[in-house]
Amino acid sequence: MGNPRRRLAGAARFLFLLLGSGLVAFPFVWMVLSSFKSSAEINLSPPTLLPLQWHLENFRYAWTAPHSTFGRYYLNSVVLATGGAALQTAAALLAAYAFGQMSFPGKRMLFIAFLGTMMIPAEVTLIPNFVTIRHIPFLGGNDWSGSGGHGLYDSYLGMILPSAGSAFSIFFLRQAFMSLPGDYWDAARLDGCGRLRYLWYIALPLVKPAAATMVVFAAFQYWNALLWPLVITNTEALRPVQVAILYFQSEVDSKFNLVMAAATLSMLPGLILYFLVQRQLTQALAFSGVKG
Amino acid sequence: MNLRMSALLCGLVLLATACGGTATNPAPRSSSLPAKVSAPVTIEYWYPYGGTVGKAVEAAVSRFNQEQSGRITVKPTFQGTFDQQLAKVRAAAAGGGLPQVIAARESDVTQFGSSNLAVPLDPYVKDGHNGLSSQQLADIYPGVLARTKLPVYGNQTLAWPLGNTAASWFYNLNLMHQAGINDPPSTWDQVLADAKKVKAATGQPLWDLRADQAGPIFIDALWTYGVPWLSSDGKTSNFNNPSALKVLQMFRQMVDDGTMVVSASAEQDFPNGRGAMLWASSGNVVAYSNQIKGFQWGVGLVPHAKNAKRITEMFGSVDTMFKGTQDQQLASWIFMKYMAGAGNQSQFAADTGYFPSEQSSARSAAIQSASQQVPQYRAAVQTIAPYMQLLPQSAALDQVRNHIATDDVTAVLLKKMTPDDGARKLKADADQAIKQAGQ
Repeated sequence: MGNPRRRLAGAARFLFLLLGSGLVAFPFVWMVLSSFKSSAEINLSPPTLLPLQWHLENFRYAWTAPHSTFGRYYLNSVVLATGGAALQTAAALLAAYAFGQMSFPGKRMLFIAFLGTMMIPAEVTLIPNFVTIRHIPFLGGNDWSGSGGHGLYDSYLGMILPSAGSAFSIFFLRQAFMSLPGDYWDAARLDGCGRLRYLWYIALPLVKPAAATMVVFAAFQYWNALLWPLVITNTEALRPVQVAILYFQSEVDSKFNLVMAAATLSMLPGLILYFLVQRQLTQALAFSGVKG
Repeated sequence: MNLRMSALLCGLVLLATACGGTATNPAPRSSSLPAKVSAPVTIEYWYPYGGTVGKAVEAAVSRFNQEQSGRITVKPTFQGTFDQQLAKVRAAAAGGGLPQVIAARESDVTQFGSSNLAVPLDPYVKDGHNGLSSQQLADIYPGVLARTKLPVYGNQTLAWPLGNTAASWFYNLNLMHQAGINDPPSTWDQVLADAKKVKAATGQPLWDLRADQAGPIFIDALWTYGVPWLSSDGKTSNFNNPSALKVLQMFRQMVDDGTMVVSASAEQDFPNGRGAMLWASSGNVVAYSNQIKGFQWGVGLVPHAKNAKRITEMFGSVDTMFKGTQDQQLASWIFMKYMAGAGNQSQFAADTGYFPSEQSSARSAAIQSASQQVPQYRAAVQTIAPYMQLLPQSAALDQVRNHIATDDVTAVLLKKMTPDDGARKLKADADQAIKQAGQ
């Protein structure tokens, strides 16, 4: 008697999850299907789901239409995502290890100050970051006072640096380091291991899922960045893929089918990356609430 | 030669010189600025246009660079949307790296002016070498010229024309003919009469009104009664004018009769054959020419109150100049003058579907060719462009137009308020916004 009830409950759960995932997946499905439509069909009301005709040339046009080809924008986004993710994760690992495993004066206040920066909206820091990047001393033709040149304006580093320090990443990784037993450090210290060696050879492998998660989050953050790269660059050949999508929108005739094609192209690398690290991601999220 | 003959000859020579001097050599205009740049100069041009307009801007810049080869080079850079570009300007104003010329909105130029970033163009406009003659100035549509020198700019010319669109009246000829209407309504009385005919004959509403444009459409409709939204001293609104209540009552009556529908997708409904008429930007002409397949359609000037002065709200953007060296500023002016000139405007307007800035451009080969491909474009240029004007400007315009008026007018149309209450609330809210903006 319990079996049919359990089967029914299982079926209901499955149906609920199917509906939920359908709701979440539908915008992406719509985006991909719309990218094959003509500009006349995409404006039809009521809309069509499946394209009446499949226009593969939309992707060719989306690839070649922006100033640099989509390939160049992709390359720039890959540079930002990998470079930015590496820098952000490296900085966060060091800070999180210190906050999670070490004791020093003012640790608590310093950590609260770090957390406090999460409440500052990005719009507030836009201008100060711009001024800082443009006036970095000794770079981009600047003198010791940061004047005379353009600092890191219009460069990859200029796009990467302001987000290299992430309070969220530090917080997330700190939780992972705090879950490691203190005995590991005691044992390592007895064997003459220093802090950095302990971090690299012992602690980091143990928090690999969390670190991989942060790499993915950071990569997505840099991949999806639009306003900051737009503000800090002036050279088309440096700009990331999100800027390329803007080219298809216009005051008089936004070609949404091409916007969808460009968006589909820009989404693909992130999708591939997600599938590659899916296991580590799930593991990290599952264990983030578990104390050691 | 005797003395008398010599004197006569001298007199004739003097007379000829005097006459010839006046007829063939008009007195030169003052020229405090140099005639040309002293050395090759490169200037930056920021613009917030993607798609068709972005390509047209780059094509225009390319033509200019070819023409000025070796003297002036313009480096155009796409800067996202207007708001994204404004964020970048604010950052660059603080940290350095402003361009020399930028395509912007009036509200942006107002900020540039009050921040002392924009260069007044009056000396350049009047300059003897590179300025504009009185004929050239007269050729510019009055509304387009007026938008370059506004009270909010401190009555200085802080902008120069670039691209112009205007509020327009689109109509579905098939639905009209089905209702026995041959010509689109030109007065509000005709709109009301035609609305009933269309509803009775087709079951369709006459007018799909876009919900988020209710405020701007209301303000424009009020203007067609001869009443601008802002008082002449700029301190209060005119929403207590009897015509404001009349417009609200008219719109509400149409909603009650089912001849007007408030729709979030009005600009999609019209090209799909729903709604006989639509109030929208002339910028839609090119897009609709690609989208509309199933019926004949036209575009013209928005309806007016009987005997009221013809007028319609102008949109679009302008070019403005930031401070630089003398050569940079001169190069910038020469570039801005080129972009607004009849030659470039003909091609630019034909490429984008914008209205040209000059009346003579309407007769150019480029626009004639564009009009052959899209006949509605010719009709728009001929019937709408001459009457386009910028709304009276105020620091509170965006707040009043896009938020306060939209909220209050929509509330009336959705029957959450009576027209009388709506008009009173609109007057109070708008006046408060104007007062706060002025502080």
